[in-house]
Amino acid sequence: MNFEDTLKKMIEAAAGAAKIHWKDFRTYAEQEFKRLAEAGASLEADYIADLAAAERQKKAANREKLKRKAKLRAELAFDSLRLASEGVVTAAKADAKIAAQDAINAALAVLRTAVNESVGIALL
Amino acid sequence: MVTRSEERRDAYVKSMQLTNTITSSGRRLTDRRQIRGRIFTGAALLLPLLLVGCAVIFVSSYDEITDREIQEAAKTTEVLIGDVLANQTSYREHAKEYREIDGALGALEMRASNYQKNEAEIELIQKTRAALRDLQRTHKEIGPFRLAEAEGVRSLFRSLIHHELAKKRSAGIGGPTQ
Repeated sequence: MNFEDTLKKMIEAAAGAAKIHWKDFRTYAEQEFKRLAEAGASLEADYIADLAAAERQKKAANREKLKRKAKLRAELAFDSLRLASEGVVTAAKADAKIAAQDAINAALAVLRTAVNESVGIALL
Repeated sequence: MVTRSEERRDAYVKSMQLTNTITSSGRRLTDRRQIRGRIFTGAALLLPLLLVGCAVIFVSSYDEITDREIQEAAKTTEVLIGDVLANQTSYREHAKEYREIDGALGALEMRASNYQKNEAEIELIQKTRAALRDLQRTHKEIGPFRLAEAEGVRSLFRSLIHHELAKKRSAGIGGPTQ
């Protein structure tokens, strides 16, 4: 078994496996954070507009009622965005684990092939 | 009557038996050491081979049923969101769908918890359910929700689908499979 050659192939296999996941993760994370940032900006604008609409109410009771609704609406929506942001982080962490798992397994597969070729039979 | 010669013979036999016992037990001890040594050497030689033969698993394997169910729940949610955004439909018209989606996600969570190293999937399902409850409350207590307010639920479904695709991809490039 050629140690240097096997090691080189193992590193190449590991890098290749991790790279596939990295490319997909980068696209996903970039798009997702962009969408969430846009939604956040939109929610802020909606909240300001809702408050302005409440202020235009002549009756104080109606004004307060609309303000409370606007606050609850914004709170629920921002909580949802917080959960979504945490979800992206959760998926990213899992991606990193899957990439590491596949990189190690790809390297082990190269080593397995090298050992099998060296002994002349499918030992592993 | 026991004669002297018989006494000598008995003593000789007993001494021989004692010698045999000591020798055989000594040999056994020696054999054990040898066996242990051989086992240790064998294990030392086989361990790298076994390690090469095994695959590491950090994240639970891809499950086709889970993937399909997530797609189905995402589809139902998208139909609901689309209808509310386009037609400003009331909560009462969609109350049953909210329950169905939450039920489907609950069943998925139950299934996901049966697999080891599946924390990410479980967490994503739980967060999706929580975000859906936020959206449901908005719809029920305030009225038809807006596009940005549905973004959290949609994003979490995308994260779940992304996670399933990463698992599927991993299975395709030598990762664990069901």
